Amino acid sequence: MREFIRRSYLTVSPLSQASVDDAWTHDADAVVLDLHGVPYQNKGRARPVLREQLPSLAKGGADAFVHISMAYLHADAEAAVWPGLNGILLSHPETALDVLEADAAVADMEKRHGVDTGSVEMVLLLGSAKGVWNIREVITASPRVTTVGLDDTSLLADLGILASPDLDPLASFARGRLVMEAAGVDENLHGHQGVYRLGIAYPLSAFPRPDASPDEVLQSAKIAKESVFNGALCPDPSWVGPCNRGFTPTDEQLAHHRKVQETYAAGLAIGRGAVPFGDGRFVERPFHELAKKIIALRTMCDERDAEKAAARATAGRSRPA
Amino acid sequence: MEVNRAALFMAINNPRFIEAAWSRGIDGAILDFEDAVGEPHKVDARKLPGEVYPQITKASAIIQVRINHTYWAADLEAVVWPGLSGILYPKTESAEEVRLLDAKITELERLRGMRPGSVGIQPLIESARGVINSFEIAGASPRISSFGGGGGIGVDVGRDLAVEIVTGFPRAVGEYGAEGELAARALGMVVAGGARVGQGPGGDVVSGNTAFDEAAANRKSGFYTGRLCLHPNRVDPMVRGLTPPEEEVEEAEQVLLRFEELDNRGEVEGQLNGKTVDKWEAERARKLLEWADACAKKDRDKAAAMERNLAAAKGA
Repeated sequence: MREFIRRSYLTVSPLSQASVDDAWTHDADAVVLDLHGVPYQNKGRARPVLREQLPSLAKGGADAFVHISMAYLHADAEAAVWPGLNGILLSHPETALDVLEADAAVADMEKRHGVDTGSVEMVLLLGSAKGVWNIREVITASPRVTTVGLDDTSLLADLGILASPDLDPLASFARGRLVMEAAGVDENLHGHQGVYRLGIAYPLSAFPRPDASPDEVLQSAKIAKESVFNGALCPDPSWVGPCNRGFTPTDEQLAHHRKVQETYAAGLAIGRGAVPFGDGRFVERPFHELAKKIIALRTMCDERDAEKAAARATAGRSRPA
Repeated sequence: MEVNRAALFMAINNPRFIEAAWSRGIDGAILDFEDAVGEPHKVDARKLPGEVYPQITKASAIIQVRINHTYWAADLEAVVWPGLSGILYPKTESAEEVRLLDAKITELERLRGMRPGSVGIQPLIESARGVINSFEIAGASPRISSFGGGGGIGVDVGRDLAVEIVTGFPRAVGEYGAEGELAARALGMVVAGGARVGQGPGGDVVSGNTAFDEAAANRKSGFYTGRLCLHPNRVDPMVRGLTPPEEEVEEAEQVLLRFEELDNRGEVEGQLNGKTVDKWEAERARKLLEWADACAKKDRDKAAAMERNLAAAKGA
């Protein structure tokens, strides 16, 4: 069972060495070297630097990722899969065969470059109608797949939609489909229940403005969490804090769910399965189970934050003056 | 046509609720063996159907039982007896599970001399995996006559997805409701649930205030199915809300007459009191009248039962 907390994936360009050097200081759960976002004519310059950049990403306790393209799969994988890499983001697989090909390419590079076999995970970004349509076979094609999300911008272009920020054109099918298919993946298939969901709420999902206000990012992350997403790509360091907070159960939620648990336990003790909870409401087993999950999620978030704080403190001390 | 506008939900082992059920004006009862019955009480609960069923049927009400997903075989042995109308099967995730359930019910119907196929199955979809397998689940047994639950967005899906069901619970759940309704309509089934009835805003299950409006909205959208009531306060408003009022029945009769005239003249469309009448409107009117008839019959049966039960209570 592979469980993790990854609320913020800070993306930086491998061609901006200053951003890369600085990335570990922003408290992101993951840092992503965005090779996919590098224009074609510059990719040749970006690929050779990835290997050197990987070790610094994790100094603040973040997981290290490289975002690669299906279109340049083999060239990108060869440049990305080196020790220190936790996983790749892959844009945009469309079929199970695509994912199998990526799995094989990554496996090959693990063997050549001395990376633990099977250790590199895959986060899939779907950017075409075909990919969304085939989502079930795509996300179950390899045990490396831990997370899936939509690349709204690419998907809207593929669909030929000129989107207005007022109305989410992907809401009724693509996002719902993604959440249900991903959450419904059999736990026996990959050793963990479901596939995590990556995405922030619309319109930031389609128009990810780096200068969005922290409050806008926070609200969008909260809506995404309520829509069953687990974390989001952050195009700017200012997004990291709001995403970390937005995807973490709040203190109020924690207090509420602790009260649910206490109420339910007290009811059980006198043989009741449905226990009054005030205002005409009741709690029963599913409420109790949800409370357990939310409390556990908060605990994992707190542990992750402590882990990163400790890593940053250590890295800070060893920093040359 | 089965009329079950308001089904009162009760733990099978709560005698206080069961004994009063006949006086509540219910169309049906859902006797729970699942979450409302504590784990240590489940074995004893299985001994109860013999004494509980007559207390429900004497009110001319339909009996459905919510069994445990985990203990389905033991529960079926205990509950499939004459008087039972259907099984609610919680946390259904695959067609295979439904086929197993169907086979066991068939065996018990044969052993216990019950009409073949008389016990229905209502799969309850309460997890992401259930949602994505909706179509094959809905088609897995001829005992399933209604499916879906746009209104059934319950805490169980939240439990599965580890999110709170908050007001306006957004997008993903639209997909959840839509998937079930689509499967039901594609298979020609009744869409279970319809608009959300049976639970007020903020999870309030006691107040009857909103129940009437919700039920009426359901009926006006063409959903002639009720939902469970977690509290007796909601029974009467839901029964009234789902029953077509006299003026709507009269209007439907006029629509049918008007359409007949048009049809005889070879026309496809006309007007009645400023509204368009065509074959779709006629079909809607026909369904409404059929539903109104069925409701009226149910209400007569219930009234007769109530009279008998009141007399018996006085005599006792």
